[in-house]
Amino acid sequence: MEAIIELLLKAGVPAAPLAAIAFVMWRFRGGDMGSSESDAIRVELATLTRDHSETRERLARIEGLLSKK
Amino acid sequence: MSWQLKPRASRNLQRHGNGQVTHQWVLMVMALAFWAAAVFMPGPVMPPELYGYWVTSFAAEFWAASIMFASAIYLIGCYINGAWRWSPALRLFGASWHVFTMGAFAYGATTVDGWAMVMISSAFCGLHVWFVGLNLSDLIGAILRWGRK
Repeated sequence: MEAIIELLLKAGVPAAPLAAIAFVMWRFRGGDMGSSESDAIRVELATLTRDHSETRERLARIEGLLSKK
Repeated sequence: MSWQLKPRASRNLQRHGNGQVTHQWVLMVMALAFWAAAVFMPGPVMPPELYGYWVTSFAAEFWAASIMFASAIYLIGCYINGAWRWSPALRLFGASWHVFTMGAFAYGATTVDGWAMVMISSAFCGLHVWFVGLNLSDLIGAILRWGRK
């Protein structure tokens, strides 16, 4: 029993950094790396999304006007 | 889900493709093998005639864990990369730790004329001094960009 616990403790030392790396690889998978380039893409996407929702609102307004006629 | 070994941000990491990540994984695997040898092999895995008496006064497991720790920190810094602004600091810390470990090996070997070990350790030490420089420039870049975003 003591030998098993000792082996587990010894195995824990290499397992800990590997587990930490695996967690980080999982957490940051796909890698949005937050560089200036990806920040610019994020801003562009937010703008596009906003524009898209505005367009949809306008379309809904036009549809509303048309349905009244 | 896309699992990738190649981080995207830091220009230095980009320039080297998978080089730095592969290098750290190689060191990690070597340290794991070293650790397994230290735990399971009956004899001493670090002969004092090769590594020096100062280095071997510490357990082989200590040195294996030291390399594993430094490589793990460096790899974590590579995988996080620009997703956290200060990830260059992690890589800088990992590289500095490697410089300390490899420098200790090189210094220890000079005390017993283990010139092969001196050359190998010095090469790795020099490589990590370069990595320290690269990551220091990344860190300075991160500091200079502070407040712009």
